Amino acid sequence: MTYLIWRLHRVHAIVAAGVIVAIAGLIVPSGIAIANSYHHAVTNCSINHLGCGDIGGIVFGSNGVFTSLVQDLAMAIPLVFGILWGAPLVAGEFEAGTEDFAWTQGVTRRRWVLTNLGWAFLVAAAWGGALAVLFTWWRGPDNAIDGPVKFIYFDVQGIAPIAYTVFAMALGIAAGALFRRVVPAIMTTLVAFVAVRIVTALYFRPLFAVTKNVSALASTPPLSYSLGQDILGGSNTVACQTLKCQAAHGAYNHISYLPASSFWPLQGVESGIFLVLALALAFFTYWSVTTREA
Amino acid sequence: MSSDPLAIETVGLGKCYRSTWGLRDCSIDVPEGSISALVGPNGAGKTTLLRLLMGLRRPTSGKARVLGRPPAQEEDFLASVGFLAQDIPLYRQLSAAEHLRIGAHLNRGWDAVAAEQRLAGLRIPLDRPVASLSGGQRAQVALSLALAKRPRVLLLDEPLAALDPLARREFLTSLADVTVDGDVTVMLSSHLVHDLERVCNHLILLTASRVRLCADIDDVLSDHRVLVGPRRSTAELEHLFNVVKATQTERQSRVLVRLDGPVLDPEWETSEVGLEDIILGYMSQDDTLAAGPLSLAGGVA
Amino acid sequence: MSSELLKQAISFQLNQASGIPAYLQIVQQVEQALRMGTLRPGDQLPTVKQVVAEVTINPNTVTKAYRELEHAGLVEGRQGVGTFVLRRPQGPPPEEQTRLARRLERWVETARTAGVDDQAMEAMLRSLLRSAADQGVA
Repeated sequence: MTYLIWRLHRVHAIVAAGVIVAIAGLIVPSGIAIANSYHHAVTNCSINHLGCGDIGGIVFGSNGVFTSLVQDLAMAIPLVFGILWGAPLVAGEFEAGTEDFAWTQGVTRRRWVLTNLGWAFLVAAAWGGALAVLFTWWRGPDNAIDGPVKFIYFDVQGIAPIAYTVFAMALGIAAGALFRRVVPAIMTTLVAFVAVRIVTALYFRPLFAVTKNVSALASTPPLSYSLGQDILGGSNTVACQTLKCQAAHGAYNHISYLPASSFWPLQGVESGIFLVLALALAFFTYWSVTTREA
Repeated sequence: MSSDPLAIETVGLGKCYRSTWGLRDCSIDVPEGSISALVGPNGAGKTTLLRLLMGLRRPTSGKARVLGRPPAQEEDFLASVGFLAQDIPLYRQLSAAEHLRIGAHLNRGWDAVAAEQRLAGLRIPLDRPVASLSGGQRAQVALSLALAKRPRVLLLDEPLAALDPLARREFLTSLADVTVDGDVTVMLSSHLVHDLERVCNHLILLTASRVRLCADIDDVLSDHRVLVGPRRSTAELEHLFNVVKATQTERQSRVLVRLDGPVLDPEWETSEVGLEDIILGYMSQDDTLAAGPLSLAGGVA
Repeated sequence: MSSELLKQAISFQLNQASGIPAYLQIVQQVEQALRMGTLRPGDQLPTVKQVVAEVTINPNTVTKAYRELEHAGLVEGRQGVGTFVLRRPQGPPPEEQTRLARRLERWVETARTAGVDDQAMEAMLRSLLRSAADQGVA
């Protein structure tokens, strides 16, 4: 059974490995350069008291575009697993008619689907893990400068990429099992993955937000992810031109943010959610393959 | 009633899809070692029957027994029953040799050597992707794969459909050869009665989701006759004989009948009738004539 | 032109349109080969596998035919080895057969001149044989 999976998916596996190697090839040198640059900037600041206010600019200055692109790429790639490996897993067999071959050999459908799910999830998790390791390391300096909790920063490091990739894979496979046609499976995987990711980022993460009122002159704490700031209250602040003036009139800053310390708890809970969803999708796939009729 | 052990038997087997019955009240007996022709028009239920026997579908009513047990998703069952679906399912990008390697990993008791020899004997290349082989060659590859696990029952759904006459002949020769040792029971569905007649010794005829005939072909041939005589009414004919099909002119009645005994009335001229014509006679019946399944094995059902 | 050389004593043919059951055709072809001397006592008949490969026919048909021949005492099946010819069928030697054939030719000519066509001749012969069989004449 493992041989069959390897034979049918070896191109996928090799390409996936290649992509990780390519990404590593991009960001390892970049990460080393960033780390060096950061180390110099920090030393410069602490010893010479120079540039302490703009370490981020010094370290990332010219590489801003590159760094955002690479992180955007890392956001998108888990979906590709769902589309290229997951969607055709069951659906491709039905479209080619080969399920009539695969399911009349000496292997029960139960064993077929469990082995396929097992290997697919393992590969997805390993790949996601490799991505997470690379980006967590790469983001070391930037985490110290800008915090780890911001949208996109949060999504490419820690353990979340593992959960996202496994979820994408589970989604693709389940959609394929449902529709038994590859194109509808791909479309469904695309839409559902993006939707769930957006919903968790926009509505779930803010549940962990800290909300408080601070001085009008203050802002969200460093390394946190600001979810909103509002200058409220105070009296006779209409004429004020500066924050100092508003503060003097009693205004305050109503802030909402995700603190840096919420990174790991949030990683744990969000990953847990995605993995539970993946498991549910796997159950559906199992039911579909073993119970629905060929 | 044949005393041979039965490789396949069904009792009242039925399958309902939403609102239509794909197969209804199907009761058949298939002796071990036989090569059965499963015949009938499109939509008659042949594919449904084969898939029920393979366990790819579950019956709505009745039961089926293959090699003495109901079809199941179990490795023992899958090892002893081979299936070749219509459209000859193979992984297009993989070669015959790779299919054999996959089969070896998926099946215990896999005889790759015999399969390779078989394909070599047919001069079919083992290393090219199967998509590049002809229809006849692909059918032979699929058959070799089905045989390599040494099944005791082999079910084939329209394996001849896409084959040219020479490829059909070679495929049927292969099937007949497989049963020489008597360990394999074969059932294949097809429209091509002429080809099947050479190789099959048992017939199952389905029309409109029901079984019309299930018997040894020799018995079918000896039990059916065409009678020609002076014009009689349909009611009279049905009273006198087991009528399969009646053709009337102003002066004459020509009836295809299934006989219980000799025709004694000298007014009737009797002649033998070929298998294809018998089958066509049943297929042209409408449902009002045939009220239920007929079984020649052991007499009138 | 395509030709095959088979490693067996005789080859067979199945005429599906003839109305004669397949096994009987095999029996008749073996008997004919015996009469003509193509098969001699001691020769091995083609194996079931060989006949199936050549003629695309159900193995049981071949087995049935060989059993008929065995019943008639013409051949003998040896377990695990094959089926071997025992003796020629009773009947006139080839010379006598040729003589009979010539007499039949003359009758055919006479019938044709009298205006009887081929089909009528065949029908005559068939009904004669049938009534002879019914009367129990061998």
